[in-house]
Amino acid sequence: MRDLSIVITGLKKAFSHPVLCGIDLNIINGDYVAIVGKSGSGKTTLLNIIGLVEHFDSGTYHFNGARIDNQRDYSELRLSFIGFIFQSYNLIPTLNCRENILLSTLYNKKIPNVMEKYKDLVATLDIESILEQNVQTLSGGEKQRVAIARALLPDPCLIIADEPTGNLDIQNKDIIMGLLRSEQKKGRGILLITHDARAAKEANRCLRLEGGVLHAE
Amino acid sequence: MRNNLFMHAILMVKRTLRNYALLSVTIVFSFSILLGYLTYVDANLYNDYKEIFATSREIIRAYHWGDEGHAFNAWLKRLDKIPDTEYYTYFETNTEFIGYDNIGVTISFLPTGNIPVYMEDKNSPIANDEIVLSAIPERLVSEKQDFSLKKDEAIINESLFYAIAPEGASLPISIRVPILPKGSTVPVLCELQVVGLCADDEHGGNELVLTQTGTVGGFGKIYASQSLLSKLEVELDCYSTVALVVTDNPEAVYAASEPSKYVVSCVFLAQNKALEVIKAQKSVKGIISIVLFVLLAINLYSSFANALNERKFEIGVKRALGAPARSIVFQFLLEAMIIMVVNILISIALVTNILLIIKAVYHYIYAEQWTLFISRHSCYMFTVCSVSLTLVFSLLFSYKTTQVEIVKYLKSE
Repeated sequence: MRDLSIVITGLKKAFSHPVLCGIDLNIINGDYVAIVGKSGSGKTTLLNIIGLVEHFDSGTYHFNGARIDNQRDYSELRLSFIGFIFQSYNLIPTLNCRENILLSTLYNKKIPNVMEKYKDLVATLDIESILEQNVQTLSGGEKQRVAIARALLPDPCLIIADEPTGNLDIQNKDIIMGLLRSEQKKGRGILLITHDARAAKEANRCLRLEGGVLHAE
Repeated sequence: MRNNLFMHAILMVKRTLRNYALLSVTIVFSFSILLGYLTYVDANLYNDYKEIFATSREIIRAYHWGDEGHAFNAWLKRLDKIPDTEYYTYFETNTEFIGYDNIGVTISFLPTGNIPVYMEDKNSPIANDEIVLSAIPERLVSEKQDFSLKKDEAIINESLFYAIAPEGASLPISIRVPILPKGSTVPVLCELQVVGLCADDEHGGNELVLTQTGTVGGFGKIYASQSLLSKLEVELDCYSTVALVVTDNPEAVYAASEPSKYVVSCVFLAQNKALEVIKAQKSVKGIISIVLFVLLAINLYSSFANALNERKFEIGVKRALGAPARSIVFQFLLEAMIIMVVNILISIALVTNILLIIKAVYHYIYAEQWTLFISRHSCYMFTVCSVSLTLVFSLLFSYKTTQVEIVKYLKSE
């Protein structure tokens, strides 16, 4: 597993009002961090900033030693080091499951043994039978497993999961949480945003975002 | 990676055809109107003037009738001084056709040998019903393919042949023509063998038609040999003289003439006039094309914007997963170019088929030969429109993908 080092200090972000008012957070390989908080507390904004898809106003953010500059696009870091799992899956409806999973291979030719990994993932997640199906025909659990396969294929060292079990039944919740736990054991850093207290308990560290600041639970 | 992106762009075009439906309809409709307009105008101009431009501008036909013989002869003498110019003359007269009250004929007595024969075309309106006299070649329509005639042979036009020949008759047939010998008031009837047929005048000059009384009437053409006149020693003053000038300097030959005293028909005048009309049409075409171009650009802008709106979620997801902006730009550039090129080709095929239907209508309903034609100028205009709009809108469309906010459209599912 590649090294992961996220160091965030005094990070602030405001829209029409302040949302993040000085976030300090470190994540390294094998960390399983859950962030909980009320709706509108800024959890998703923080996740997007850590995931390098949103800019912040002030503070410092170092990703694997590189200082993140708000003016640049970090698509290469996202492509190589970060895997996103969303509550609403964000699968592209015009592509089938196989094409959705292999999407990152269009942009990253350097993924080692990519087809081997693909076959392993598909077998582990038990989605072989639905690979050629249109994603719109899948159940919520199947969609999330396809989304997880897509996130894991480039072998990221950080998985950012935004309410990954929010739309799932208990059985599928357990499957997904089990998968995240096993990925954490492989050395990946997991950053989980959830409302689900049971899911948050799975994490090594549980933080509450309140008043724009992170507090230990 | 480029190759993969290319295949992915094709795949996305196939999968999102419904999103591109409005854009495709806009492209096909707009480009078809533009191309259809350009081609229809060009084809009409071409078909109006194809005979004029197919005729050699080096031929000038002139004739005098009555008292202006000396002016006519003086002009012919002046032609000797114009380089690369030669001419021959023959005689022509109008008379009744023996045995048919309603039929008149123009008899032309041609010199011996195989010479080109041109007739006056006075029914070619160039623009605003303005008539320009031009000389167009006489067309032979039977087996005999030249105008070399023995002294007892003749060539007549088709409708005259069908009016006088017994039903089912074939060439040769005999006709009698009246010739007035020198010093006599009584014409001598000369019997001639018709050995060939020439076409009727397309513009309604020498042709015979069925009259209201049920009889055939009109004017026919007879070409006979000049040796017939010398054999009978006729008074040539009674005939009009026709000169056919072949020259590399038609402008100089015309400038040396006196058209007020004798009739001069030259195709280059008609060609120049037609060129003026075409030039004027070019300006109109240019203005209309610019208007269509602007309307097309406005349509394309909004249709491309609609197509992009449908794809913002996809762009957001791909960008979030780490797709570099340049890859997204490249994919959408390819998609836009594929859509533009394919739909432009469809509009070309559509317009071609519509024009072929128009051609068939002309052929089967109006019995006219309507040639499908597009000028180089129109090709150039259409190509410039197609290429510039394809490039501009493909680049604009792909550039706009860089302005898609990842977070905003991820949330929008």
